[in-house]
Parts: sequence; structure tokens; C-alpha cells
Amino acid sequence: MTRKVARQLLLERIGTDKEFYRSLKGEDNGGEEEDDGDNSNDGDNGMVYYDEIDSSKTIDATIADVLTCTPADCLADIYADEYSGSSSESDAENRGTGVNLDMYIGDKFSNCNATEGWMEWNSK
Amino acid sequence: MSEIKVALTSLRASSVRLDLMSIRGIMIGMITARAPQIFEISVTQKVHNKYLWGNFHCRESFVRKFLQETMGWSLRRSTRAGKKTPDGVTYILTNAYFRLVHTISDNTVPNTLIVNTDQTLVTYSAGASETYAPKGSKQVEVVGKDEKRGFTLVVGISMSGEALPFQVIYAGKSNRSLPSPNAPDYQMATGILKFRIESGGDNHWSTQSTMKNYVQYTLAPYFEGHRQDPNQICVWQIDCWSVHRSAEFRLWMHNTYPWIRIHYVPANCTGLFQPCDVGIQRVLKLAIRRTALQDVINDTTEQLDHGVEPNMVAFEKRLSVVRDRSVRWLVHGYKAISNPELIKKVIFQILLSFSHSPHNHRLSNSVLLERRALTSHMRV
Repeated sequence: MTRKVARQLLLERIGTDKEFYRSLKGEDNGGEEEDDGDNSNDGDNGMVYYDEIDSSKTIDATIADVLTCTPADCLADIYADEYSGSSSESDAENRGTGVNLDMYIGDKFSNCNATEGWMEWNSK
Repeated sequence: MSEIKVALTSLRASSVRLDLMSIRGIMIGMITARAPQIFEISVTQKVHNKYLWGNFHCRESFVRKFLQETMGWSLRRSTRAGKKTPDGVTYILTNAYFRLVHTISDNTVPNTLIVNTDQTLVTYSAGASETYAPKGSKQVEVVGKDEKRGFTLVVGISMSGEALPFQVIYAGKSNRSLPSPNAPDYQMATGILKFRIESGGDNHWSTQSTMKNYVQYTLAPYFEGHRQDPNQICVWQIDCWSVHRSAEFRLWMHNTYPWIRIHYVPANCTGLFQPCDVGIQRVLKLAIRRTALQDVINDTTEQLDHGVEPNMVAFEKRLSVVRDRSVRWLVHGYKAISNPELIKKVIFQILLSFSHSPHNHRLSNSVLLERRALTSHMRV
């Protein structure tokens, strides 16, 4: 079933997009990546730096963040700029809202705060 | 409170570069050693715009407020130059998605044989240009601003939810530049989890040589261990970093492992289309950060327990020591991402999002529905 559907989708794509069809025959090297912006903090001038990784968060909380927002929401936002169609409840579900987080979190390792259970767990 | 102020002031006076995690570690360590009852105090915390009661955890938000209001220190958020997504990103990504589907469906590739790999820099700490050392002691090599301030971690995940063993690249030309076999959790890392620890030469970045080693000693053995048929095609998704794209590497892959098909994540789209980058690295880096935090807390409590005065408290910055400690960070990081449900969810969130692509506008509703069905089938 999967292969059949994939084949059908590809044929449809190939039929509507000759450029894509031509690209399938050639090698794809992905294009050229921009250099990573080095976020080193050289020359701090006495500042204290912090970044997006908050050490006080539990791993469970971060997993919940990952599952309930990006990347689907990011892509959906980009698409929304170009696409006038309305989204349905099932769209929202597909984008990650309404995820049953209990399936992914709750491990002793990942749900401890740094000042309590984590220290106990870590000292074992 | 006054002892914390003294300790932090002394650290700053000795030109130690400080980041929020290190300061938090020292504060937690001092509270743990001197006044652990503070952790029993009930406080409110704002979560998703709701105030919840809980115990005091000396969170980073508290530390920031303390530094600004009590210490009068300046804070700056580290910003990473955002990459501009290319024009026509949805078209580019939809094509990349179809390319993937094309290879998978034409070669009947099962989910276990589709791997995404990404590299990330892990820094030891904020680093320091100087460190505390007894008078008369030899010069101590410390974590500083140069290329030795961190290491490169190569992470691989399969579409079936498995995390491949890490490859870890440290700066240096010999085994003396690598973590010692006596490092905490070293046997777990190399023996049980099969991490590959390598030296990268002048710096810690991946090279042709280390990438080939990754394929030879981590990726290919993984595929060979999971495929039933020796002629089975496998899929490897990587970003289009210069070494990955180089003619030398591609030719070597083609000649040595013709059964591994490379798929490149389109340039400047890793934050949207690279599963490792999108979700897994955040969890991994947090686990690493928390374990490093634990080291700072342990350093602080140990010193205080041994009678060190607050103004003499320091945290470990000798390169050889933090490098050894990093092995334990990695073991904890691996444990955090060894969550098949999480890995699969992240990957399929990306695939599902293509149901929303405006580049489907040329396709009929029935095909759109079938595309969703396809993604659902790939999920199994």
C-alpha cells in the first residue's frame, strides 16, 4: 500500500513538475550551506551570558516543548503565508497539538529537577 | 546569601568568564552545603501563563533576577545568527520530501534503514582565560577561547526510533588529547554504548577522515546489523556541509558503500527538515548541560565541605579534567535521546507537515488525502 501510494504521488508530481522530474535523474547535493554563525562569547566585557538551553528545565519539559510546537508549526506558519486554505481540527492534531505526552515522558531520569531527585538519582 | 555574593564577586575578580549555568551551579552548591532547607520553601512559578506552586529550585530565571538586582551585573542573551530560509522554501522542501519517498518506495527501504545524522558543537563551559592555581604551580591548561573549548558530537537516529552510537571528536593529534580510559563512565561509553572517540587534529571539527570513520565504524555496521538482504539499499540523510558535499567524500561513498544512498537536507533548511536539528539536539544538549551543572554543584559542595572559604570557591576548568568529565555528559545525553517514541514523533512531525504544503495545490484532494495516508503508513 505504501509503495503504491508513493508511486502514485510521485507520478503525479512528475506529471506536473518537469523540473522536478529532471532533477531526479541528476545528483542532488543539496545546495550550499551558509557558514554557521559562531556564537562564541569572546570579549565578554564582564557580561554574564545565557542561551536558550535553560538548565533548570527538566528533560521531560523540553520533550513536551519539542512535541507540542516545532517543526510542524514553523512549517505551517510558512505555508500559511502562501496558502489561503483553512486548516481543520485534524490539521491542528497533525501539527502536534493534543499530543498524548504521557507516551514520551515520565522516566525517572528525565523528570527530576536539578536540586532534588536528579541529585539523588545522579549520586547512585 | 552573603556567601554567594562573596563567591561570585571573587570569581569575577579573578577574571573567570562566567555563564549562567556555572553561576547557578555555584549557587545550588552553596545552598545545598549551607542552607538546604531553602529548597523546601514554596514558591510560585509561571508555566504557560499560569502560576503554579512548587519548591524553590534556584531556576535560571531566579539566577538572572538575582544577578541583575542584587549583584548589579549585566546579562546578555547569546544570539545565534539566524539563517535565512531560501526563497521558495516550501517548494524546495516538498521536492526533498519526494526525493526521499522516491528512494524509499523504489527500493523498499524499511524504517530501520533510514538514518539521519547531524553534528553539533558541545562546549565545555563558558570557558576562562585564567584559572585558580596554587602559587608556584606549573602553568595549567584551561578551557579557553581557542578550538579546544569544546568537541564535536555526531548524532545519528533512525526512522524506526533508534539512536546510533555517538562519534565524538576532540581537538588534538594523539590519544593524550582524548578522555582518559579512567574517565567516569568511559567503559559504559565505549564498551557498552559503542561510542567512537576520536581526535580531530588541530581542532575538533569533523574532517574527511572522521566522516569516513563514522561511516565505516558506526553507520555501515548499524545498517549491516539490521538489513536482511545484503543487496538492500539504505538511506542516509545528512546536511550539505562542505565535507559531506565534497567530490572526494561522495566518490568514496559511491565506491565503498554503493548501497548507502545519501540524501541531503536542502541548504539552510536544517531547522525545518533535519530531525536531529529540529528536536533531538535540544533534548540532548539539555541533558549534557544538566550533567555539567551537576559537576559544578559537586565541585562547590565538595570545596565547602572541606572548609574552603566562599571567596576561594572555584569550579574546575582544567582541560584534562573537563574533557574526562564530558564522557559522562555524553552517556547521560545518549540516555535522554534513547527514546524511540520521541525520535519517531520528531521525524513524523516533519513528514506530516508536508500535508500542509501549498505546493500540493496542483494535486487533487484525493491525492492529498492519500499523501497523509502514506505518511501514516511510514509511521508504522
